[in-house]
Amino acid sequence: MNNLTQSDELFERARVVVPGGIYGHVSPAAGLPRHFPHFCDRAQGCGFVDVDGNEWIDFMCGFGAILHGYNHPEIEESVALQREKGSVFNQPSPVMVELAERLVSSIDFADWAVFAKNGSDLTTWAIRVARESTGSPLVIKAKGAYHGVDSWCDPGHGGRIPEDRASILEFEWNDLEALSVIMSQNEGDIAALILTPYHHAAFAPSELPDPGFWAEVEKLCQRYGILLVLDDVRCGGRLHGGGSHRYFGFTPDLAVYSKALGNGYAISACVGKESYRKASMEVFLTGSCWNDAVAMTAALKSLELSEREGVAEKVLAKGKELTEGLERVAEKFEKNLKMTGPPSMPYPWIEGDENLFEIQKFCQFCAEEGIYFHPHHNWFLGNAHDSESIEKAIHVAGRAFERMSEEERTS
Amino acid sequence: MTEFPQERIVPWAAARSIFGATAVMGELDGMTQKLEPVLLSGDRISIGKNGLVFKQDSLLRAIKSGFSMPELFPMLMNPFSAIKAIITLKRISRFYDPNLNLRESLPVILRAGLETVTVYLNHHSRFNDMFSDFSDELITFNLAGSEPIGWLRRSTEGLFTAGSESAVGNPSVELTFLNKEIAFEGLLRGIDQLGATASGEMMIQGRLPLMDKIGYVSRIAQKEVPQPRL
Repeated sequence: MNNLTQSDELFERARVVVPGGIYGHVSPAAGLPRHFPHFCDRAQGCGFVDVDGNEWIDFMCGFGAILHGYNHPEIEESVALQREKGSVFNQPSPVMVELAERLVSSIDFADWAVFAKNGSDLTTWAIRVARESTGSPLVIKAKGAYHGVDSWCDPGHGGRIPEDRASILEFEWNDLEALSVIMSQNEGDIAALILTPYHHAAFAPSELPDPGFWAEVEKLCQRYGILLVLDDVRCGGRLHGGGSHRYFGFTPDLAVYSKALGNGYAISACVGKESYRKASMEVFLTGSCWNDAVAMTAALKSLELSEREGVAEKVLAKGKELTEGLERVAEKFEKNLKMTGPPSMPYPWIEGDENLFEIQKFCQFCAEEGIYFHPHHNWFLGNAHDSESIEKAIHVAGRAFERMSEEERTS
Repeated sequence: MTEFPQERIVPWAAARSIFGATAVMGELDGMTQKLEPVLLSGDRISIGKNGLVFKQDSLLRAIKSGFSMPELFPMLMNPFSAIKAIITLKRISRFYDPNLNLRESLPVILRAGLETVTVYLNHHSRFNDMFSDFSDELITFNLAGSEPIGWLRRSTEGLFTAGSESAVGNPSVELTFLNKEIAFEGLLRGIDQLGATASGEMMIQGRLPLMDKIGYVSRIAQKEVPQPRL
């Protein structure tokens, strides 16, 4: 059991001045509150140290924000140079142009790029661009898909009015027939179909697109004049260096990136086809710190590293090593563990564990030995993971399954 | 379930909470009569089988202030039954006294609360679609180191029910209060659900999204439906 004394003390202080202490997806309530630390002190590579000094091998990578490893020396060096000049000015810095040029050159369908800070800033903006372009109000999304914190798509319950979702239609992921029916029944009224590259809902196994899914989606969007908006916020950089649409072989009209884009520096980007440039200029977009040159520098360097080192392919290979190893040790203890989704972003699912008790127990046992596996969210591989960290994680996982088997035998 | 008149949800939830409390009191002492409510026409609710009929506003006032006049005519028709029910009603409030034996009070006030929540879950139009992703689900409420003190179940047809005896089946969620004081405080005044989970005052195992949604509905019900005052 890890010592979490400082973590708990800090949390009690936080509770006084922050509603709930810590909120959102990093709220302790969403994970394993008595086994994960509440606060982190520092991080390097694929590991972090919590405020009690416990060392962790991390398979969440800042919930995806860290692709090249924490505190990557090349990125930090570039950032330090920019920081000497400043971060936020009255005008954008030249790095904004360089970053847009980089995105436009590396993403095959992109003719322009805009920037913000958070994924939600631009998923919401993108559907407004689609509305401006088509003159239609409705938006289709997959049921259970997360596209950000705005009221049209957030998973919470509070502060919402029926109108927030009155223009949002939903279909079950991979159900092309249902999608086709929605489109035909609302012909002329649908602005956008917004989808993630594959379905990565929390608390459920990930679902890859069925064969032919994306081709049919493209066809339907073209037939009904609907913009295909790719929410690549979570996957971007971990499936393909040129955008996750390349991994699955389709072409969106607009795509949104964030998370890994800045390797931990807050930045998001939306890219689009030439035909939507004019519409994009009609939809107001701004934020006081959105032209933050430091974050843009980090993103520029991060993209350069991704291309130079073939990071997407590498994290997929590392993920394969991890997921195959975990499934192997699980099988040894007669646990039917399925690592769902692409290997660089695997979601763990134990067959028959509908109430999640087993996966929670598994992640708890791993946490006790310093392996940060999340029971309810897809994990993230980063390029700083190496064979040593992966082998250690597999070894600890084996012990966790062994303990679970022992507990079952004795209970 | 959407046909339920929305303006009657609060009084009906309050009436069901009385039923929940008396059901457990009966289990504990073997004597208390279960005051099962019936929704009557004209904004009236009967509490128990005979004799005690309140206008909805009067019922809410009775719970909030400890006193309100029931309708006279039904009471005169069944005076003994009505007086017995009034005595039972008065007895409920003592379970909300923190100075009493909390281990005994907890199942009573938990069941009262759960009955309130089931009314919201089953009848409130705002929550109609909230649970469409769930099927047959069981949530158990526990005190650390002891047997469950109550449960909430959702049937495959979507109907929520509550109980206090041992629940049958595998729970989808187990909610465990660290001790009876925290449970009592949480049930009466609400709990900082994020902070309490992080600190270990309340532990939740299982399908968190289900508990997250039920917790949200519970907090709304707790805010809107009066609890007995001492």
